[in-house]
Amino acid sequence: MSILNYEFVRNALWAGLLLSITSGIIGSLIVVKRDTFLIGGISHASFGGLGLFYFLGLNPILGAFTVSVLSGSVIGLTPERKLHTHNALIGVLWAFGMSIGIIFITLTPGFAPNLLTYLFGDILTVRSADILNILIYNIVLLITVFLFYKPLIVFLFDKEFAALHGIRVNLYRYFFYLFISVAIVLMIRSVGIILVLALFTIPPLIALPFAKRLPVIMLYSVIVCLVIFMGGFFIAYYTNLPTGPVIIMTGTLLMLIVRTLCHFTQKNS
Amino acid sequence: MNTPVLLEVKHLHFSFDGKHPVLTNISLPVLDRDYLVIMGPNGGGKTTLLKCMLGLLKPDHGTIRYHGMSTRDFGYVPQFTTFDKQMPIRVHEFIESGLIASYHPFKNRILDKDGLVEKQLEEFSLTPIAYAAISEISGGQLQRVLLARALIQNPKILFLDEPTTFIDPESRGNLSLILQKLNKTLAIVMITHDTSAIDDHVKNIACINQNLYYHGKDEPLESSLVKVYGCPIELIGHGMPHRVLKEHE
Repeated sequence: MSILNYEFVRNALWAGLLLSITSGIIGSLIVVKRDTFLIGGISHASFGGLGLFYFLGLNPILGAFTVSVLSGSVIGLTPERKLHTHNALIGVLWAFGMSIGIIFITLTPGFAPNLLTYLFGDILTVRSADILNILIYNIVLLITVFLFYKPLIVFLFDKEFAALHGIRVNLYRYFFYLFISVAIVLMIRSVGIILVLALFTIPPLIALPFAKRLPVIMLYSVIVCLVIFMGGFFIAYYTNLPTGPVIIMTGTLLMLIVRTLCHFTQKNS
Repeated sequence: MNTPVLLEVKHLHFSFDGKHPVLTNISLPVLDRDYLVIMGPNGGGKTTLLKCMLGLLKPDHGTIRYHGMSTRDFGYVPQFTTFDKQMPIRVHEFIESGLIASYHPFKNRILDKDGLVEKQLEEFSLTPIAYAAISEISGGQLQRVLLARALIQNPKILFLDEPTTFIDPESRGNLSLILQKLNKTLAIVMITHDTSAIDDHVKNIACINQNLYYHGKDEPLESSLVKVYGCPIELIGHGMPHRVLKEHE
């Protein structure tokens, strides 16, 4: 295929493949723990950091990383009971981060950057360094999940039982949100801040009806994610539409089709 | 000879915010092979007391002493509402998680070396549904799964939080029989707002509504329930003598 001759296309495909692994695993954890709103809060808050660093003339992605990890840590260190009572604050964090980001970017003198790139991402701008980062992250993530899978599932499923049996629930909570915060930043360049959430949630929602165990949900999510990444990418390439939104559109349509089919087949049986 | 005490709560006070007490000056013992029911209305602090006893919550004042045991010797059957029933986990894996305390990422990755899970599955007639997801099984089955998980490590005390709430009458009867049998070898502490959960195998009763009234064996029950629940409660039971406890002082 001739489009593979371009380096940026090859990079985009590698990024798609590697991010599918990140997103499938992290997304499954988020959906299973029902933390979607919280994660939306973190990813949107990170836009504030992105804007600030842009204004200061620093690397914007580094700004997003700082705020993402910071807010992930705060959430990870806040007791679960308090998070539930302060749920609305997450909504404030969400909007505040976005506003701050846009204000700083507007304040920045000189040529205004294309806001859309950060909000909706562009997988064609992914560089080799990004791919290496994602690769390293995936390796650490896979090893961690492999080593701690059994206590992790008890932690996700029944925190009190976990605590009673000596699992350090607070430590698990902290690292849970830390891993998610870093994953968010890794995905910003490809799918953007607004679409990160969709890429985390759509694949597990497609996978859930077909799996009874978390590792299977993760595996299916990775595969589904890869399909919508590649499908979306080629559709975007040939229609000349932005990749991020097209990837999410593809995923949403696929989810609707699969869920509808599931609904009817279950009714008939 | 006095029955040995396994766990002793003394002058326990608890509040979530330091201002509004949930539990005030609670003292009670859990005896060897006790069958203790702690009852009271919703919001009366039952679950909070249980969590203090399990060491999951730290009391403001007062002590909880474990005699010759640690929290590892506790079996815990939580309320159905404390965990996510939609979680993608199968019965087999769920029961195995009862062994999680011995897990180590490098030294001990296989939890069920001795086939304990199989034994539990058989014991609680769960073998046919061993590979069903817990979202697919009935309330009574889930109750047995929770028991199997709690008992897999041979605990010395079995704690149950509202075990009768989501199960049908037949499963209730089964549960009662299972507990009766278990009580021959271990102590049981059950928390409930359901007065019909008390059968004649229960050895001690405590009524709780912020304060606690402990009733030893064969004491009057009805008047204390009036005090704790705020209204008289009819106790209907089949073929068992009704128990009447002393009035609270």
